[in-house]
Amino acid sequence: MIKIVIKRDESSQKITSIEVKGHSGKDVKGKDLVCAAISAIITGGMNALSDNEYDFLLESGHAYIKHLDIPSDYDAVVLRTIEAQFKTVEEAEEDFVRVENL
Amino acid sequence: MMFKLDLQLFASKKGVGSTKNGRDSAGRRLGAKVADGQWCHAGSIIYRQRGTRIYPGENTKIGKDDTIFALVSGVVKYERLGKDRKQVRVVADK
Repeated sequence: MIKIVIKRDESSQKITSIEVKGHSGKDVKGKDLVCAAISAIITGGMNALSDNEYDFLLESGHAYIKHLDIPSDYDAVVLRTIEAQFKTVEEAEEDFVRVENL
Repeated sequence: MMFKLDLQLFASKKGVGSTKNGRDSAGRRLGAKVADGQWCHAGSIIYRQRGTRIYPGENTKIGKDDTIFALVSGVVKYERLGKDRKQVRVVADK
């Protein structure tokens, strides 16, 4: 099960942190489509962000994007897109992906 | 791009290799067919074997597949043959 935790800034409601943890477990390495989807979304999203004040992590079974302050409007849209893509995958593969908003 | 894509970043299970083994022939049911001290008919099979684990003794004969069989009716006797060999013979009925 892959757990995705999304945190927002209270006042602006902009996403400030997205953390992805765990392993899908749907299929063996090399054939796991759920894992491929999640990997593509988080990696592509990271490459789309433009601000400089981020703390990134991208390793096997664990990845996160943490903005050190409040994201720009541009990046806020990118982060919301990442969230929407994760929720789309969760809807189709709820046994393997769980998105939590804190 | 700054971040390189690994599509299996969140995959867990390793692929399980396949094996080319897993075949075996059926058991050949070898071994003693008549026990020591047991009576047997002439011509009946006493011992099935591959090679000469047991040697043919008196009133017995060995077939081309090393099967030992009785030449006469009587009681079967398993005994030592020399230092480290065994033989089987049949004590004929009086």
